[in-house]
Amino acid sequence: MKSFLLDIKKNPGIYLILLPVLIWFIIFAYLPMFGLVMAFENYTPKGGFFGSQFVGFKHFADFFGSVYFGRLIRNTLLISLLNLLFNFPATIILALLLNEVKNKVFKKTLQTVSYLPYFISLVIVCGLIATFTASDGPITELIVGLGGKRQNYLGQPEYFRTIYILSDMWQGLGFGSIIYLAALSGIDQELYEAASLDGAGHIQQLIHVTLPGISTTIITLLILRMGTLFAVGYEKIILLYSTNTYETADVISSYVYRKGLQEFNYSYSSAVGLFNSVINTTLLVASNKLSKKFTETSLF
Amino acid sequence: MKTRKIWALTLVLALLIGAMGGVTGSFSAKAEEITFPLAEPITLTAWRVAATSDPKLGITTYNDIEAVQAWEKATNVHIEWQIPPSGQEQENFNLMIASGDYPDLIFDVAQYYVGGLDKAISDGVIVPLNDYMDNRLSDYNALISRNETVYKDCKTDEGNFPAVYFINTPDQGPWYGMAIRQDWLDELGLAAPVTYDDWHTVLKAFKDKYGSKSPLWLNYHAGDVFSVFSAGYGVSVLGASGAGFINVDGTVKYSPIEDGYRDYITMLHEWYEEGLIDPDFYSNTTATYIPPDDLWATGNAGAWPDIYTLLDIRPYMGADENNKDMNVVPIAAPVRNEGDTLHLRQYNFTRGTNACAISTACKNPELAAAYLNLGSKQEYAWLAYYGVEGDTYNVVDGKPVYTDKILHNPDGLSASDAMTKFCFRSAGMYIWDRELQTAGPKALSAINDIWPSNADGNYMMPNITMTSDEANRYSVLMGDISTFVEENTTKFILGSRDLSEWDSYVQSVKSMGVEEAVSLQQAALDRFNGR
Amino acid sequence: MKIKASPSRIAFLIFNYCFLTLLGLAFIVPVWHVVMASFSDAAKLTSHTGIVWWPLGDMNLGGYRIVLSSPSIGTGYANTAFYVIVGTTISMVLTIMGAYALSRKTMKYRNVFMLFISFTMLFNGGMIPTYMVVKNVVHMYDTRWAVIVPTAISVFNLIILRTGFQQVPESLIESAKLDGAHEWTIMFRIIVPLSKATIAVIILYYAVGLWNSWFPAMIYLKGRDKYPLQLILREILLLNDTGVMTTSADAVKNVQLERNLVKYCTIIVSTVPIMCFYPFIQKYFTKGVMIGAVKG
Repeated sequence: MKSFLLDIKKNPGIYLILLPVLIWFIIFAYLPMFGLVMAFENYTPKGGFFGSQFVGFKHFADFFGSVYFGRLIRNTLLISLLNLLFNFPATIILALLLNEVKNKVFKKTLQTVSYLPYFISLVIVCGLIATFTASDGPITELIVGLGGKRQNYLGQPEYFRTIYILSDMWQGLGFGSIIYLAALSGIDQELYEAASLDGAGHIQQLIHVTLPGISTTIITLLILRMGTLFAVGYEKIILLYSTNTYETADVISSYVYRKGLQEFNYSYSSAVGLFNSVINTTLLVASNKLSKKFTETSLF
Repeated sequence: MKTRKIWALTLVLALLIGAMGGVTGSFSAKAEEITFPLAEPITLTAWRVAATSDPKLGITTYNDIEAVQAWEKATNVHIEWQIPPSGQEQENFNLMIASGDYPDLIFDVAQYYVGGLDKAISDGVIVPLNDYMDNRLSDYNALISRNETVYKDCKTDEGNFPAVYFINTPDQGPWYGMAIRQDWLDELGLAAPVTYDDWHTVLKAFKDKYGSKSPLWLNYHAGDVFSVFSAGYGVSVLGASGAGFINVDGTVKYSPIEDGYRDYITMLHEWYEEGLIDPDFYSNTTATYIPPDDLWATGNAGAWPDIYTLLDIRPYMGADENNKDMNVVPIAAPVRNEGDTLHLRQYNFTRGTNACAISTACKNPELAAAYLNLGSKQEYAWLAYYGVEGDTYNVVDGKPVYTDKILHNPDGLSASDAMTKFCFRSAGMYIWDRELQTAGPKALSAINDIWPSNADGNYMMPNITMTSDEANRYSVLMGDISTFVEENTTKFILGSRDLSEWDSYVQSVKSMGVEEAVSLQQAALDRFNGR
Repeated sequence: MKIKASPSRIAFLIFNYCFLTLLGLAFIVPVWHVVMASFSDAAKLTSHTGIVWWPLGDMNLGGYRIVLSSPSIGTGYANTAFYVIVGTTISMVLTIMGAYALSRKTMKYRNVFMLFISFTMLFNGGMIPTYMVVKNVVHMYDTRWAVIVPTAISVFNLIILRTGFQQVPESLIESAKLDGAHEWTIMFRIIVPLSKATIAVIILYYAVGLWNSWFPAMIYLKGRDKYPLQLILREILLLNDTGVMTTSADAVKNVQLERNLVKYCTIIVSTVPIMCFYPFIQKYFTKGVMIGAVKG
């Protein structure tokens, strides 16, 4: 405590700047957390947060005891990991490729075009996906033309993840690469000049100048992504899945959503949310630690 | 900002006047008669789902509707509406309840209050209306006393009258059933199919002659929302009213594990193989009641479950050039053997799920009850459902008949849009048959003759309610069971799971606790029957 | 200074242009489909399968007429403009302050605060408790602030910005300090100008987020006169929802020929203005921003 006060004394300006931000977090982020007690009770509006019946870990037990628990965890993790594996590098690669383009008009056009899909609402995007991959959709026609089978691709469990991830890529690639473009623009041009004077080729420049220049951004984003590994949003899933694809498509959030439809059960969804948070925290802290050890970049 | 202040002022004034009225005894004393229009204007607040989200109607709040304005004039009661954004009604309702800040009147309460209206009463959100039934709500009381079923439907397990329901007046026939392309039958020289075997022949002919992708359309639960098509097998499908549960003479059964369900699925599996049902049926989860436009409008479907008012207008709803002359007619649901009587169909529910309750925050429940009673008086109900006499309707032979402002709207609105724009629905008498004025001949024969001809709704589950503990347990059980049944139904039909595994499927459903879920439904049904 | 291109470099460049062009086509074709569909004839659109390359039937503005005839669309645009401009400003000020303070290595306990902030990214109280705080603690219910303030800081953006700030050489700050500059001055005179590109991105993130935001408005606003555009458009989109029907009349109302068309028009109406914003941001992505600042 004493050293804390000393720190304030040493950096009064910084603390003064931080203060409003901290107040915001206390009011809008920490104060509502008392609501987490819901996960341990049968919450009713009348009883409120502190007067509802306390049930301990019952909702957690219900969730863990579900016959689908294993499948939900598997699907959630797989979709999330595959998404990370393909889409995370893809945004970086797009940024790097764009960075190599010298023609300004071409570059600007492509940037703008690539970020258009981000603005189409999910409902429409999912509608397009369903139309395009139906048994007579344009994408299916393309596949049939290449010698593939005519079928409703979205309805096949083995293709669900592919479609989910590719469409995510289509929608988020351009928008996601913007942050790297910004980071790339911050690299000191003198470094490139120095490297090329040393006789470094383009590949070497990429390895020794470009990548180190954006590595902090990459690692920060990667750590942040690790913290959301268990959070696959339900909206897109429920818009895309069907009874035939449950086995690969049903994730924790869509499962909770379906439950919520039958009975608006705050407590149950709080419990599942809390479970998600705990796992995500573990992942975030672990990846932060690893990163600190190997790259010297870390969040905290 | 400014208008809000004015409202606030009005409210304060109204309360003051109300309080003063109390002193002089104009309506707070129990015996006093409350007559409308009130001597002094008063304002009540009310939560209600939007009348429409269609921008072309220009209605953002109920007070924009002429009939509502007429009601206000006739009652001297001004309503300040709280209207949730469309599509977010449940969230908005939950927040309103959770915040403890209730308006005087809560419409649509039965639909959105999780856990049922007994719970809403014990949670202290709404007041039971029992004390007002004989006086303030006497007309409503008379309305629901017209027969025992209605009365039972409007009462809760614990004997409360929780809200003023919308009572179907008169009784309603089935507005949902099977429909078929008569023009195709004629061209092929086929008679209307009766048994499932006949249907098979007809659908096959549709497929061969017209190359239909989906001669028969069924929704993604392999059926329809009132189990009309599966009724011949005596089973209800998931996603239908009752969610697979049926009431066989007072005993609850879960259809998806019955032998009839197996036979039904077996038939559909064969039909799927022959291309007689939509090969992608399981993937369209948005079309539940009626087929999507790209199937029926393009000659890709020849038979489907439909809504009676749509039969006559199908050709004008976007059918493409080749199908401009389609003739869609209602047809009785298929049976296994000629002469069978079916027990599942769209049921003559005596009331809708809509209801209006008085909240515990209401300062003057006596007045609110008297106000809600008005909807059960014919003159006020007509004012709501038919609008202003001479403007939107005239009385012909003692019956209200819409004028051309509704039926052939000069601004080109359809009749149903015009009804939404100029009229509204009041709690009490729900005059659903006003829409028959816009219905064509096929619609009338469907609802009156053809769809009820070989079916009654005796197996349909009535409006039961569970206690909150029961409901919690039920949701935990059924969440998993429904997923499993949905998934396996699709697999059996597609053939990715073989029907020889039926017994092990039934075992799995049982091991997931379906018997407990049935017993919860049974308990609720027993209580209902004992009301 | 011109580097002579090697054959492999040329091969790469050719590949790069071809690949990016194909990618660009993949992005643009479905968007093109949406735009063309929005000008199509409603009936033709319904029975059409495949990509719409050109408006079906006669070029048609019927869908736009329906969307734009909504009585609240004008106020919707105005409200959204307010939320985007004021909201982004508030968000940026708070985020810059947080990111700056937490990027300063002289602060011994910054990791504790970092943890304090990161924690909220993972745990939150949920909708109802937050609602109660907004309503009963800060009394913002049914005010425009409720749309902006409770979601003002995104931890994700704060962390990205902090990472950006950390790239600024410590030596610059030190020398400014020796010149007697206050923290406030360092923040706005040195750090912020040097991180223009990242700040531009964060502005874009916040502005786009606020533009598309409807959930807080749905929860916290009672008065429809404060509704943002997206909430109004969502209601229009719902025309196409079958939802729960209790009577046959409801069902008929839901059967609207124009529903597909309206969907596409809604997309155009709701996205074109915010897309026009992008080029203003894009110009900050030019190289050499840093160098100029350091040298100047």
